[in-house]
Amino acid sequence: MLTAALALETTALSGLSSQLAAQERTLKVWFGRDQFIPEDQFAQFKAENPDIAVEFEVIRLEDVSAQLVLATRSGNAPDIVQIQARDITQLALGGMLKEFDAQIETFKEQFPDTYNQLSPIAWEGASSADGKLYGVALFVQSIYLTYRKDLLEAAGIAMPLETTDKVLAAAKAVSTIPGGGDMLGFSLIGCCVAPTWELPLFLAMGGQFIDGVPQIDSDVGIEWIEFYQTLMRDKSASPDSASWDSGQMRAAFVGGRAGVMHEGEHIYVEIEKTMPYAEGKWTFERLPTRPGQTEPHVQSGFAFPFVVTTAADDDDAVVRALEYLARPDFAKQVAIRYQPTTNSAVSNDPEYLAAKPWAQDIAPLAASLVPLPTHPTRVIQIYDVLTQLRDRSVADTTTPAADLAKEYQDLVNKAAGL
Amino acid sequence: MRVQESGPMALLFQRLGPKVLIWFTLTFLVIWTATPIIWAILSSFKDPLEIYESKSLLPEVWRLDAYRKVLSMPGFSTWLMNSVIVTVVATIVPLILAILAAYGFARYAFKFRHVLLLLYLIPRIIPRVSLIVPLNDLMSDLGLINTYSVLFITYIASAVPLATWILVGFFGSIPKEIEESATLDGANMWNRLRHVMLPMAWPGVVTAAVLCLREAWNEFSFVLALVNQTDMRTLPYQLYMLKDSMGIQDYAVYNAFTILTVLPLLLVYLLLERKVVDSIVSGAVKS
Repeated sequence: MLTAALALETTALSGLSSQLAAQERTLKVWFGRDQFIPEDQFAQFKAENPDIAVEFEVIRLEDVSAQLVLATRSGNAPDIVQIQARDITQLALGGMLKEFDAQIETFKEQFPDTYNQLSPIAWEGASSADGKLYGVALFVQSIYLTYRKDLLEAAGIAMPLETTDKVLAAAKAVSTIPGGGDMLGFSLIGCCVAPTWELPLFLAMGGQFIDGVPQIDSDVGIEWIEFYQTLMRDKSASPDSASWDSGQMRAAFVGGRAGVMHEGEHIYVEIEKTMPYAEGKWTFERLPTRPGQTEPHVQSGFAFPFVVTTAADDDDAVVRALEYLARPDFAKQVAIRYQPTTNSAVSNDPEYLAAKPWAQDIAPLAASLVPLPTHPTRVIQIYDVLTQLRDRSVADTTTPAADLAKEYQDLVNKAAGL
Repeated sequence: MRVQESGPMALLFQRLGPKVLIWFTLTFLVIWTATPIIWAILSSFKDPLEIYESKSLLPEVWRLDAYRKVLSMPGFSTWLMNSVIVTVVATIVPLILAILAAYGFARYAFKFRHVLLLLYLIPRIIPRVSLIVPLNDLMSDLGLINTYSVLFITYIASAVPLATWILVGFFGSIPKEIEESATLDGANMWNRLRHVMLPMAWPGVVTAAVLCLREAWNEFSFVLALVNQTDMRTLPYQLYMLKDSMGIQDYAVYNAFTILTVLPLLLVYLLLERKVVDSIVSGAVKS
C-alpha cells in the first residue's frame, strides 16, 4: 500500500517536474502597435510549441528605442522587439541588438516555405547600415501619390500624373473646380511629425543621400522644396496646412475634401470605408518624378522590423516565433487591417484581395521598394531638421527655395556631425 | 461745465458698473477655460471623421461608440484600478509625512531649518526627464521595475515636498498661543497636532490632499519610464498609447478616454471643494 502510494507520488512529482521543465522557455515580444499582434495571440504557437511561453506587450514605435534602452539597462529587455528600421544601426551600435545572420540561415533551413515567401526587403529592412541582419521586417510601408480620379476628370486633367509639374497642375485645377466649394487640390501636412511623406518624394525626384545625409542643397532639393511652396502659393492646399498634422491631412482626403495627397497604403483601408475603390473614384500611382528627370525613379519604403535583442538567449524559440509571425495567415491579418506585408504569398490570398481591392494594382509598385536611406547614428537629429524644413516650406512661400535648401543643408550637415 | 452725475444711467452704472465688470471678466474666464473641455466632451460623441471635417461644435448624430470602445478595452478596469491604488497611496502617505514634517518646520526652531526646507524642494526643482535614467537604474537594482512599489516610491517622493510647503504655511499661520493653551490644559504634542493644529489647518490639509491627488492621478513620465507591462499601466499612460501618428487619430475615442479619466478626479474635486468651503466657513465662525 505504502509502496503504491510512494510510486504514485513519484509519478505525480515527475509529471509535475516535466511540466515545469516544459514551461521553462519564455519569450518576451514587444509589438509597436496593437494592430501587429496576431489575432490568436500566439495560441497556435503555444499549441505547436508547448514548452515556449510567449509574453507580449505593446510599446509604441515612437518610444520603443528609448524604452528598449531603459529595459536593457534594467535587465528587463524583451527577446524580440518591433522598431522603426531607421533605428537599427544605432541600437546595434549601442549593444542592444543581437546579430542574427546565422540564425536566419537556420530559419531558411527549418522553414523553407515561409522563408521563400518573404521579399528581399524583409531582410534589407532588418539590416544595419553595414549589412548585418538583426531580424526580419514583415511589414513595410511606402508612400504613393493618391488622388481622386473623378475630380481630376472633372477638372480635365489627364492621368496618370507621373511628374511633379502635372501634380501641381492637377492640384491647382481641382482647387478651382467651379462649384467645388472649399475643395482642396492637395492635402498637405505642415506640422508636428517626421518627414516620412516628404523624403520618399525627394528620392522619387532623384534626390541623393550621401552616407545617410540627404543632399537638399542641390537642383533636386530645390525643386523638392519648390514643390511644396508652389502648392501653398497656388492655394492648392489649405491655408491652414502649416498647422495640420497627419490626421488632418488624411481626414481631408478620406472625408472627400481633397483631390490629391501622398500617403501610405494603410490609409486606403480608411478611404475604402467612405469611397470604395471598386467605384473608381480614387486611385494611386508611384510618387512623381521631375519633368525630364534622368535619374532613376526610386520608390522607397520604411520597415517596422522585428529585431532580436541581446537579451535573447533562446535562439531556437526566437526563430520559431519570427517564423510564426511571418506565416501568411498571421501576416495577412495585419496586412488586411493595417500595414502591408513583405510575405508575397499574402498578395494572392483571396481573403486579402477581397479586403483590399486595390491590392493587385499596388503589387507592381510595392515589388520594387528599396529601404529609405538613413544616417546610421544621427537619424533623429537629421529628421528634426527636415521636419523644420518641411514645416517652413509650407509656411514660408516667399523665401526662395534655393535659400532654404542652402540654409537647411547646413543644419542637416551639423545634425549629422559633419 | 459739470457733467450730470445723478441721472438714472449714471446711477445704474454706479450700482452695477463694478459688478458688470466682474461678471464680464468671470464670464470670459469661464468661456476661455471651459471651451476646450466642452469641445472634448462634444467631440467624444462624434464620428472620428466628423471631428476633422465638420465645422459644427455639436455632433450631427450623438454617438456613444467611443465610450463603448473605451469601456470595452480589455485592460480598462485594470488601468483604472492601478490609477486608483497608486493615487490613494500617493495621497494618503505623503499627507501623513507632510503633516509631521510641516508641523516640525513650523513649530520647532532647529538649526538649518530654512535651508532644509529649501532642500525639500529639490525633487520638484529637478526636471523629471533628467531623473528618469538614474531612477530606472536605481529601481532596477532594487528589482522594483514593473511593480506598484516603484510608483508608490516615486509618486510619494514628488508629492511630499509640495504638501509640506503648503502645510508649513498653514501651520505657521495658527497663533502659537492657542497651542500653548492646549499645552497648559495638558495636551501632549500628538494631541495638540491632532486636536488643535489639524482642525485649524484643515483647509490646508484638504488643499494639499487635492494637489497630491491630482499629481498622482495625472502623473505620466515616471510610469512611462518605470513600467512597461500592460497590466501595470495607469490611465494617463494608456491615454498616451491611444495617440496614433500612423493612422487617422480617433479623437472621439481619445476624448472619451480623457473624459472617463478625468471624471473620477472631478467627482473627488467637487466633493472636497465643499469640505474646503465648509472648513473655511467654520474657521471664520470660530474666530
